[in-house]
Amino acid sequence: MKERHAPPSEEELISRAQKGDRSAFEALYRNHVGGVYAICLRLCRDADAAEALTQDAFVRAWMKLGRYEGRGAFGGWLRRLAVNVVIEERRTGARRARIFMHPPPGDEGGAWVREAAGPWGGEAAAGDERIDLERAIAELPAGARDVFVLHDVNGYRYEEIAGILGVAVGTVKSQLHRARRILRTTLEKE
Amino acid sequence: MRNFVSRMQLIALLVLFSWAAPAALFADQRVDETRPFKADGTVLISNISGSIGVIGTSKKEVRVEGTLGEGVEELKIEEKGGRLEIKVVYPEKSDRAEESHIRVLLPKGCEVHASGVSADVEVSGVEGEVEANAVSGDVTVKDSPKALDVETVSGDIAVLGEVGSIEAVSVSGDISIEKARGYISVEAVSGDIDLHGENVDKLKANTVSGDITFRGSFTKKGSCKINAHSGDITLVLPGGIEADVEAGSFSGSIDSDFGSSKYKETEFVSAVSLSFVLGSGDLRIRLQTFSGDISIEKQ
Amino acid sequence: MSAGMSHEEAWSLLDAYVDGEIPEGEMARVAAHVEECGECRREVERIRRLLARALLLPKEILPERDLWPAIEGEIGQAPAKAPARRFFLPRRRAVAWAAAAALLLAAIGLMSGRGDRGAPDVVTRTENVRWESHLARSAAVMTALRKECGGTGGDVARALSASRGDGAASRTYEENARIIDLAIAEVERAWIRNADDPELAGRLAHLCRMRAFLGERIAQSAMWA
Repeated sequence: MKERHAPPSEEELISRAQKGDRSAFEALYRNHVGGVYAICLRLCRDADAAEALTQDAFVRAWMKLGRYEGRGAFGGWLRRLAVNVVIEERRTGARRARIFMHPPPGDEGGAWVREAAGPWGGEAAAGDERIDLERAIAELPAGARDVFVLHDVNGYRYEEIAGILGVAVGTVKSQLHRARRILRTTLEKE
Repeated sequence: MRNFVSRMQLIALLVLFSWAAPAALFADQRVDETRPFKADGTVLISNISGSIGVIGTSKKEVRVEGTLGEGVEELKIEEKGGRLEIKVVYPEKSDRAEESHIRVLLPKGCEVHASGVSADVEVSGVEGEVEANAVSGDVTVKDSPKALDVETVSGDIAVLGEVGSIEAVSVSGDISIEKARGYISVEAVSGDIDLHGENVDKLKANTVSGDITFRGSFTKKGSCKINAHSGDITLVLPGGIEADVEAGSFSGSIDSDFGSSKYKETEFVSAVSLSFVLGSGDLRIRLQTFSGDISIEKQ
Repeated sequence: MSAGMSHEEAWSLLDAYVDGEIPEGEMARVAAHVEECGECRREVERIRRLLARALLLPKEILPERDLWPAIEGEIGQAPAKAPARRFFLPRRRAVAWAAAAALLLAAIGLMSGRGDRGAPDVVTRTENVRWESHLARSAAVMTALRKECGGTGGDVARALSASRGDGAASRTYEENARIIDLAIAEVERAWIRNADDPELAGRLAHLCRMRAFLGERIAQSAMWA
């Protein structure tokens, strides 16, 4: 009788990883790195930072694997964890990389017109609908961008977003409204 | 001790300067320049030696006034990409940095970045975000910027007003925050950290040999995470706190007015740890040292 | 019969309406208004079109390089506890240092000849071959770490005397580098006796990073001078 090697289910991988099996965790990494990186990249607009944050998210996931109880999709749990990593990094880590005595790098918003396109600045296809939208999202002011990425790209609900960002639901609503208006204006211009 | 040392340095510098002065009649160049500027722009100020005073005003202009030390090349004021840069430029090959003392009056809504080497920095009346760096200069921040980020090497840091978000780092300078609240992250190697505040939401403090003291209160669901190597940690809190407390030290001692004596000695030689929950335990307190002593006192 | 919703009110609720994030009763009222109001209807259309485009954005984007080796490096040595605290260094380097510092500790543990306690738990699970190469890496890492950490107090003094940096800064760096070195030595000694204590491992990695940070600052002030 021929042996059949079915690839392990995600459930099995998680269970093995929880017991310390790092190759099982690697498989989980391969399956989910795209989703985690995408959200980090859209939130922080910088490929290097997104890579570092993705790394941190997976390391943290390893540490907290025991807390994942199988409620809800693993990918969702991972992405939620990644968003927390991004938010925490913003508050505590973002300015450390500065070299003493040099002017600080431009922060979110107006002054950054050239770099605002972020990781999508280099892509040639300006007519490409998808790139246009990515660029327009990258150019949004921070609060509006966070909410748009979390709600309209990743499907989080108002309350969840309010919890993650530490703001009132009303703020989430108004930022979302703002984001959509700005995006529509930007995109309609093209 | 250190203040004494830095004062001696200052005196030495002044003595040096006054000795050199007669040889240069035009030693100090006075400056006073004003230009219009938007209410919420970004201003970057740097000076090497002397002082930087930043004052927030309700005028839509930036005024730079003060005296430039002997040998200073120029005071450069340049608007680049919407940001205003004010820089005291010293020549490349100069041997001494004579002191320049400048005051910058700017719209209070501005975002301010101030850098000094051996220059003291004082900021008052600014409501925008403030970032200040100094090597051996002291940094003093009054009133209430929206957020504050300060870093020094040996200079002291004093935050006197209420600021909702503070990050302060020093190597050997002392850090003192008088009206702490909101989010605070402070780190030092050997400097002491002294914090007073009510309704602090999130506190993170870390030193190697410096002592850390917090007197005040936290918000209900706040969090407090303090770590020192050989420095002592002292927390003085109101009697009715509802907290989840974990304190541990590898070789130091732990004293607490709260919680029953649930000291645990682990299998490690002298490590002690104390953990207890009061009331709802919504406030999370985590204290950890290597050899420093931990003391949790009731107000 | 309920009064129809005013245009202004409906207009302000259109986003939430499209998102389904308003209570049912209100939804019905907004819907009723939208049916009758061309302006609101067009706005709803525009919002929906934007959302449709957003939905088409890729849910997954692959990073340019494979991040697994770095992740593996960090989790491989970290026992199941909170990761060591960041301090000063840019995130990337902090991750690399955590791995390097942890490897260093493993090397120290082994080299102190504590046969009975052996290598840290995580490592004993690996095969002998991996442990050998791990040792070789550790020795190299230790050299590199020592070098990058700015060496001993003596090295710091030499580097500083070559620079014309601010006098106060030089002394401060020197003194504090020594303070950190003493702290590191203390923790190393304790860690060797108690290799299973994750708190100590974390503390040691943190101190090494602070030391490296000072080394960086020293180099920068030499440049500045």
